[in-house]
Order: sequence, then C-alpha cells, then structure tokens
Amino acid sequence: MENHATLVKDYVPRSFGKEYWNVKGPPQYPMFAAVALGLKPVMDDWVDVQDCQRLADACAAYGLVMAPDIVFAPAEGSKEGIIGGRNITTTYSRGEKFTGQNTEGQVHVLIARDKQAASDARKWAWYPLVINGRSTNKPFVDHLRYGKCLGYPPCCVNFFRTYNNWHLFSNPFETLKNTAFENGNAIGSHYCNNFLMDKGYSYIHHLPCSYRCKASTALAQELEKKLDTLEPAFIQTANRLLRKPLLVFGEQHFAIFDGELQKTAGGASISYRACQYFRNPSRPEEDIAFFDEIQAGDALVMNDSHILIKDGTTTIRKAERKKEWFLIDFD
Amino acid sequence: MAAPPPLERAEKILGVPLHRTEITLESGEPYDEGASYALSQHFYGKDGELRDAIRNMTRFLAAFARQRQDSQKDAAVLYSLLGNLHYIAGNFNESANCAMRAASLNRSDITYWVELAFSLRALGEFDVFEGILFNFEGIVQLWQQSTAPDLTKEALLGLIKEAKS
Repeated sequence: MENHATLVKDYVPRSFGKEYWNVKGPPQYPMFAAVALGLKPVMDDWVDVQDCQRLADACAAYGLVMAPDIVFAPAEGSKEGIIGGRNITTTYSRGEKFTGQNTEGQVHVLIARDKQAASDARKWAWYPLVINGRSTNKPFVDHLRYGKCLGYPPCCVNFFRTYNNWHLFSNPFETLKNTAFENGNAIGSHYCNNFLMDKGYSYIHHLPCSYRCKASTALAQELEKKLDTLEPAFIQTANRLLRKPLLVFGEQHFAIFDGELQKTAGGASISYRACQYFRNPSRPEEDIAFFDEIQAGDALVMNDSHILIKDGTTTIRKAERKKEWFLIDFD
Repeated sequence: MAAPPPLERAEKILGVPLHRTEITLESGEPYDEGASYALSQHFYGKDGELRDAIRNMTRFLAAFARQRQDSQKDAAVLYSLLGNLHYIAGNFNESANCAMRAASLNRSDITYWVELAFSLRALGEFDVFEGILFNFEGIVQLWQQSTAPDLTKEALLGLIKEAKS
C-alpha cells in the first residue's frame, strides 16, 4: 500500500537520459527521451542560467543541440501596473537577454537533433515575459505553429486553437467533454494522461484533444515501446502511476489517488488509501482549501453540486463543486 | 451617401468582424492581438481563402491609398491588416513591410511595432526582435520625432542603436 508521502516519487533513470536528468530532474525526462530517440522533432525546456552549459553537454551526449532563447528572470512585485498584466499569470517572469553571463533566472532553450530545427522552433516560442513593465503576447497563429513544430498532433493543435483561452475555458474540462465514453471502460487512456507531466510521468507533453485521442496514443505507444528497451523501470513506474484516478480542478491542478473510481448514476466516487495534491504553481489563487480533509478521509463522492469527503461512514467535509471539476480514471 | 469607414469595408472583404483601436504609449494599453486572433481563427488552414483575402485586401488598399491620401491613419490600419494576413500565410517579408509602412503612416500606434518585431522574429532575426522589445518606448519615441519619411530596415537598426545608447 502506498502512503500519502510516497504516492508519486521521482523516477531516477538507471541509464538512458541520466545525463539530462542530472541537470534537469524529472519534469521533461520522457520528452528528452522522445527527442533523443527521434520520435519528437523538438522540445523546449528551462534551465538555471548556471546550468546552461551542463544541459548543452547532456544534449550533445545524445547527438542533440540546444539553442538558448531568453532568460526568465525573477520578477519584482505584483503584476498590477504592468502593461498587459491581464494576460500573464500571477507568478510571472521578467525577460532578460541571454548573454551567457546572466546571473539569475532560467534560460528558455530549444532542444532538437539539428541547429536548424531548434532555430525554426525558436521563431514561434515567445512567452509573454515582462520587459520594462510591458508584457507582449505573440500573434495567436504562432501558438499553432509552435505546437506543430513540437510534434503535437494536428487534432490537438486544432483543439487548442478553440479552447486556449484560460479566461473562458478550463482546458482539461473541455478535453473531458470531447472524450467519447465507452461503457465498462475507464474514462481515459493512460497514454493520454498528461497530468503528471511535471513530475516526469507522461508520454505526451501537450494538452490532448481527448483523453482517448488516437494520434496522442500512437505517439505515446511509440515512445513506450522504444524506451521500454532502454529504461524498462521507467515504463513500469509510469504505467502504474498513469492509471491512477484523479480529481481534476484545472490545468496542472489535481489530486491523485491510490484507489478506485466508481461511476454511479448521479456522479462518481473514489475510495482511496492515499492521495497527493498538485497545485498549479502559476495560479496559486486557485488552490483548494480542503485538501487536508481529503487526506484525512478515505472516500470522496462527487455529485452535480458538491464534493463529499468521507472517513468511514462519517462525512467530514461537504465542499461546493465547481462545474469544471471532475473525477477521471485511466486504463 | 458617404462610403462606409475603411475598417467596415475590410470586414466585408475578409468576412471577419474586426475591432481596432489606436494603442499609444500614453494609453498604457498593451498590444491588442484581437484582429490577429480573429484573422488566424478564420483563415488558419484555409490556404485558398487566405490567398484570395490577401489579393482582395491588396487591391482595396491600393485603391484606398490612391483615393484617400488624407486618411493616413486608416491606411495604416489597412496595411496592418494586410500584414496580419501575410503573417498567417507565412509571408514574413511582406508582413514586415506592411508593418513598416503602417508605422510610417501612423507614428502614434504601437501596434505596428509589435507586428514588425514578430515578423522579424519569424524571419529568424532574433537580435532585431529583442532590440525592439527591450528598447520599445525609446524606439517609438525616437520614431515619432524622426523626420525620415518612411520606416525602413536600415532606419529601424539606427533607431535601435540610438535607443540603446
């Protein structure tokens, strides 16, 4: 049985991609593997300015090149007063030119098999950093070009095109609505489960158009097959974790359970032995206030309007449910 | 009866509702990507329609420029819209030229500078892109004071150099 503290532990590679992991840790380990194995054309990443050369060396060890873009430096103060502040998240960064001599922040980098591919991807890779008190969005079409460059399936790029506005849509909820339910099966396929990507457990690094997206599944299966011969322990761990049920609050914001999901006519419930909460670091204002109760309980019932948290037969918390929150399981 | 305002005619030609407001340094507003967003949503993946739209806008703009030499701000908006279409089509030299023409016709609106910066980035000119974004206010102010009739690539590089110093 897993306890709360050990539910999602970092995976440390035994051999393949270890050089990358030593610099960057888990978050994009599978994507690095996908680029190194020739399954993905380009990835982007962020690395501490002091570690930039180490990452370039790790890339070179796999025949890859790394192109530095711009430095995401720590920002001072609130986003109030920033021109274009409405378009940036609560935690935002200041843009600083990459000089190779920068002393703080993280460099945004493009990693690819050749210099041209990295440079081409960089054209569309702008993020709305704050420069001299002004934040500037890139033209919308660049998001679509960038997704294409990173090897995202056209259906998912097109889905993003429709639901990209986080002021209006919860992307995971839209993905759920676009998922065709199959009686007797889990709601999603673990190949399309991208929730744990920042912990390094996901075969995809994009927002899928459906939790059963065929194109995303095909990409994921290719990576699974190749990486299984090089780093089988990763595949075993990933496949186990990616099948665990989730309570989803939003993008990068969810709880994972060591337990089982039961679907009922009026909603769904999870009975669980352990759980872990993941907050969206960019949107701390969305944190939920009742995770301690979830952790203290052993079952959770979700209906149209509420979440009931239970410990045995006792309801220990009744929380109002937002319509975009949902429970999901994966096979 | 007076002809409808040029933006309204552009909407009709393109079949897309558009909204454009002048954004100045003093207004404290960011670049408004509303028109670029609407055009991307409408034309992305529709290459034939996009080609037709570029052709029709080019014709309209040429006629407008001939007939309405008194209305430079309107012409600037139309150049900017044509530039947006070129940008979506991947014609980045053309989109950069449209943005420079628009910035020449209306020196107050910062929109054209953002459009120029991203066109140059799309051409792989990352240093010039950063030169614009990191010296944004200085460049716009220098251009407003400049007596040069047209913004050219050479003039832009000069503005960046001057704004940095």
